[in-house]
Amino acid sequence: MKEHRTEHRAGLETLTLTVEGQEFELHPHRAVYWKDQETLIVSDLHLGKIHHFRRSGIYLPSHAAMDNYERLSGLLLHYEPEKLLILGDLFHSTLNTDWKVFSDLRHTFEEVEFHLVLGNHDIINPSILADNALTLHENLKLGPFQFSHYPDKENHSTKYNLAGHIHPGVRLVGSSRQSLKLPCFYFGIRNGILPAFGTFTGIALIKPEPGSQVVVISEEQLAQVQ
Amino acid sequence: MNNKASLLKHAKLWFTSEGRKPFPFQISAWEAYLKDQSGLVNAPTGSGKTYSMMVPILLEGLREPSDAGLRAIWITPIRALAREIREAGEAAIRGLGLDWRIEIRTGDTKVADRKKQLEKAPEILITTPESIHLLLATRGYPSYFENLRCIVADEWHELMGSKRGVQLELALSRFKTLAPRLKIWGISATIGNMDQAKEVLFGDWFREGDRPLPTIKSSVKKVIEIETLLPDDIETYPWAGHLGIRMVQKVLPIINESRSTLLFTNTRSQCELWYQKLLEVAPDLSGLIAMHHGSISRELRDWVEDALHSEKIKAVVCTSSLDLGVDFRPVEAIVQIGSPKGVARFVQRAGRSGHQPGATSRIYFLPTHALEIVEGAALKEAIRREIVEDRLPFLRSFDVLTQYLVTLAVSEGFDAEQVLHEVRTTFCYADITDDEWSRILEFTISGGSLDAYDDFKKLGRDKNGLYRVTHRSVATRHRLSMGTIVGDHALMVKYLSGRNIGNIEESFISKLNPGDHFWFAGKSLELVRVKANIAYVRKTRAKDGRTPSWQGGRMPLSSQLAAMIRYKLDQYNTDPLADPEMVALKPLLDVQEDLSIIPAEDEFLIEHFCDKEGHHLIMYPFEGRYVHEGMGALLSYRLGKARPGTFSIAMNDYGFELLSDQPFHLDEITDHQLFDTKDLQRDILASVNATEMARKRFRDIATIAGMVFRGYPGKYKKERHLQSSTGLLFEVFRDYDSNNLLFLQAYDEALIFQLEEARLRMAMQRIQSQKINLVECERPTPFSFPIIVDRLRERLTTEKIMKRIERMKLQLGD
Repeated sequence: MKEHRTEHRAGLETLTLTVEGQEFELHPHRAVYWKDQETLIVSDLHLGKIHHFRRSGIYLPSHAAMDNYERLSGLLLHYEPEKLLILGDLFHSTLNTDWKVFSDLRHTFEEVEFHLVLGNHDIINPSILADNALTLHENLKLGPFQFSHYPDKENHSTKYNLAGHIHPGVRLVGSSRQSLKLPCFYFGIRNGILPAFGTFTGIALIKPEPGSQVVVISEEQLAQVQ
Repeated sequence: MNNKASLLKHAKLWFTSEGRKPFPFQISAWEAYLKDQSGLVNAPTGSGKTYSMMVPILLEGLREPSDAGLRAIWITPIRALAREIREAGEAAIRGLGLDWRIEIRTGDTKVADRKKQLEKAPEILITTPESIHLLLATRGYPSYFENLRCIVADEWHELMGSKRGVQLELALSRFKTLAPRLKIWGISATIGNMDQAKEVLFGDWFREGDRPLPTIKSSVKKVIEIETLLPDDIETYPWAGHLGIRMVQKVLPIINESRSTLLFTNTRSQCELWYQKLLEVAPDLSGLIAMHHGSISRELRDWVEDALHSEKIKAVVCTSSLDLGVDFRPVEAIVQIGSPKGVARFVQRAGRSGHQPGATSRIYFLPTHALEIVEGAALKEAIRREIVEDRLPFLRSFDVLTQYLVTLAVSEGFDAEQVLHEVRTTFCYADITDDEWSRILEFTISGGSLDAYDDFKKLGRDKNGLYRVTHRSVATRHRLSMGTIVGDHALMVKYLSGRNIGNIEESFISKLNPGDHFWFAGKSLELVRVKANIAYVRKTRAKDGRTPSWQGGRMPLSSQLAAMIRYKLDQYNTDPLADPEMVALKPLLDVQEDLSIIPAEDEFLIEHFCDKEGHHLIMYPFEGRYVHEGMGALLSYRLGKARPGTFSIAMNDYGFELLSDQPFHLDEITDHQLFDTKDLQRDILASVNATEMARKRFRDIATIAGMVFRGYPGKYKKERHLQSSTGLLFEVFRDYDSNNLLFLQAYDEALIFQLEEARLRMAMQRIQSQKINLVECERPTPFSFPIIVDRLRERLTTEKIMKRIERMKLQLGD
């Protein structure tokens, strides 16, 4: 059985891809670092989900919730980005004590701009979000990209769409009928989808289109499979 | 009338007035009961077992009429039986001259009736373990049970191998405190571990050894006639398959010649297919045959049972849903389609015909693939030797305990010391340590966290120091999710009129579009729309529909029946004419002998061949699919330790296959060291399969312990954020709370029930003493073919994951 992942291991191997001419450093802790803009991008944190269950009397290990903050602060320390961009579903449900932990983290990294593209789970009062110096967006255009929570499949704009929401994963098959299901980063021709950052979030299988780039995550390692 | 002799005479007179004579075992049971003893009645269904207990409960009522309220609880594992027991009870009440009420309380009981039962208790309550726990979740329950004199656990052999049995153990531990004059009686068919059945039922009463606790055995012997239905042409009968549809013509004469017939199938989809096929080949049976399985609505099933009872139908195609239950007197013949997997189950099914005491039971065995014919001979041998299987009781089911504690906290609250004392009187929790108890308690109360931010809400202590549920929403959610039977994620199927047909798994419906056709409950249906969790359908004449499949554990072949199969194969080598089944199998066994061998009992057969799929290694322990799954993983792991590789494992009840893209080193295979039982458990746990199996077991555990909430009507939106998959829960526990007792329980259950560790160990020991015979085959043999074509495979790898990913490719599409 595995030991708890309590401390952030700094020496993890990253993988760099080019998307729309921009260099993206993919981190196994389920984040993208956009070098040119010094922006760290994450999606679908679902903070507070574990406490939401616990508050209703459903047991879940409470320290599992802390892993999200440990990974996030680890990434912020590692990259020292100018901006943190969250592609929606920051908080799982209504406000609970987890918000205090997030709020503390936010103030620890005061110098970083926090941007949130609103997702379907983001039902917290916007004024509370604003109090934590979070800049809110329905959509956000930056450089060659257009960021949203829901993937824009049609994508009629001239910009490349980057989104979350899906919690993407793929199935890998091998000879002797082997198969594996893993979360992934997905970069198609006109849109990309980030893996869900949060623990306890699950994955949904996607069908990669021809010519897309797919990077799977397994045990804190990355592998490009297409 | 209050001495024992006059009471017994009274009962005998009533029997005589009905033109019957009590069986000796019934009189023994009456006598023991009236001496205030507890005990076990060992009698098969259809032997008069109900009156062995119903009569003395009533006689006691005549002897001690003063105590008001609930006097006896009759626990039945299936609701369908309740009505029959009530009718028998009512007849006895009238016959013996009492004014008692005997009522049923199950999930089907109307709310108004349930309320009445609470206000004024009937003297006898026929109910299920679930309903008993719901009563324990009701305020004021202690006084409701204080005059209880007896609990009868009917069909105890069925209950004791399930978590419902654990629920009953817990209820009994409470009742032993609440009702000082309690007696406990079990009624059980014969099982291999009869003594353990008593130990589980009586708990501390058995262990302390100062009570007589007699076993009263019925001497009513059942005569069983068995015939194997043999295909006309064995040479063309398929080597693999589990439907047996090709033999449909063979059952028509049986249906025609018997008053009525039950055809038992092993799965619900097989049941659907057989029903369709019967109507196709014999359209004149339309209206005369019916179908019965667990996913068909209660109303339809009741209709089928009534029709069978009143001889309105000639045959029913069914699953284990009719294993137990109502006495169907008109049933004259049973057909078992496919392997019954165990002797006891086969005998039980046979007993559904000739239900009356003394009558002959007739059963036909219909093999679904050629090699399965050997099971006909094996079953006869087992019955001749009077061999039956054990029932394995659950031990240390922390999930059921967690649920029980909240149940008590919902109603009256509980004193931790008192309940620990009671819980330890059971068999299931006899050995629970103080540390485990406090961990369970802490887990239930505080969620196991000392974090000040945390606001886990479940139990609090009131001013008397009793633990209680403090939030009404928690109590409501608990009452709605109690029970130990975890259903599949199923959609209700209804006509547009709203009439309920049954349940189908969501995964099947989600593949259909409105307008598509499918078969269900023997009808061709068209999907109209899916709304919330209901699929609306209408009837159609189309015959092109698909047949749904339901997930559900495939029972493994029992070791008792497996041993008989090995014996029959061994015997064939010296006496090929011993059974008609083996004579019929000769052409197939000739091919087997030609390509490979037929193993003798002191021989362990391994076959090896290569093709474009890879390198195949097939081994034949004949120990049932679970043991084969475990052994397959174990051997892959051991082989892979020397040389990292990935194996895909397929199995059936006779053997298993390891398929690899790398060649095997055959000298390693024939080495007995590979089958060493040293470090067996460690090696099993190191194989990924243990994790996957634990993941599956965790689904039920998490649900029973109240971690999975499926929502309830009218509150969908609000509760949706509380829903999660058990797979996700499992991962969170694995990564962050791997010492949690519920998480560890998943591994324990996987070892005991899924891998059948004890049986696996014995099988490995047997192989150690056998001669290993590795045969090079040019092509698949009659033995290996059914295994190789099985597409449900498990995987085991000893390679590093990144190494595997390198050699895999992305799956595009489904």
